[in-house]
Amino acid sequence: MKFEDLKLVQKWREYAGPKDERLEAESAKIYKIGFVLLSFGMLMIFFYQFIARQVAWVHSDASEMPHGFATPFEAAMYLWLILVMLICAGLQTRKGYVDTNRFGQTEHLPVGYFLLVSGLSGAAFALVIAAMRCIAEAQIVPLENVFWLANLATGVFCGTTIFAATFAVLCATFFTAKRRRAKLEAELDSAGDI
Amino acid sequence: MPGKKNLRMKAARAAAGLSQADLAQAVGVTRQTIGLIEAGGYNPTLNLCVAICKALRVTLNDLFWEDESNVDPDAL
Repeated sequence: MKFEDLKLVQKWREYAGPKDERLEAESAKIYKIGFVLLSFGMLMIFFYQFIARQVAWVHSDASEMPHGFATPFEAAMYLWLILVMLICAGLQTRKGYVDTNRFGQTEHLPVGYFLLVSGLSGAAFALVIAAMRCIAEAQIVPLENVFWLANLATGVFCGTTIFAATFAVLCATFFTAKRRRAKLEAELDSAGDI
Repeated sequence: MPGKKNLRMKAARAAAGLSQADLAQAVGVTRQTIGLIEAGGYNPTLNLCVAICKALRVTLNDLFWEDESNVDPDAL
């Protein structure tokens, strides 16, 4: 049974009035902006906190690595955020986010385009991570003691990892979209009611 | 960006003796949406177009089809 078919939902619709497609479309756009601002803002804060703790540990005498999160609640909050972002990415993929008209009928993997997107993602992450490490380090030690090159190397390593991961995910979504489209076409061909 | 005004829809609504609010209630949207469609500020879905046509007892061609003479050839 669909959610819309529930009696309680139907009663609510009668009381609240009809759904307006324009308002739904406008709300979707507004929530999209809100989601992007909220989620990426939280991720940036999380990255900065994580990096700041790690950088502080590098400059301390403590031998034990610091925990990534201050409390279990903080860990739960950020894990929930990442889970929500993954669910959204999965749903976008299912709705054809990657299977665009540009590559809708192509038989070959658009390697150049995927390399460009992955490269830009990797470069952006490399710069952000290196910059965050330098900023976090400058908060706790004098500028002459900041490990500029080490921070850049860490950023490049993380950026390379993200480049490879993004390329792999894009390739996987491309082949998934092709399989899904082939299945849909097969279902249409076998419908027999044309 | 605002689109082209749909004066034919406004005329058909007036001919049917319906206000924007009446038509909105008949097709299940808000009055503002009907106003925006007539003013060219919103592109309705095909489902809503069909509902409006049924409520006004006209066809899709009557309200939403542009004759070739009205279409900018450079836009094709």
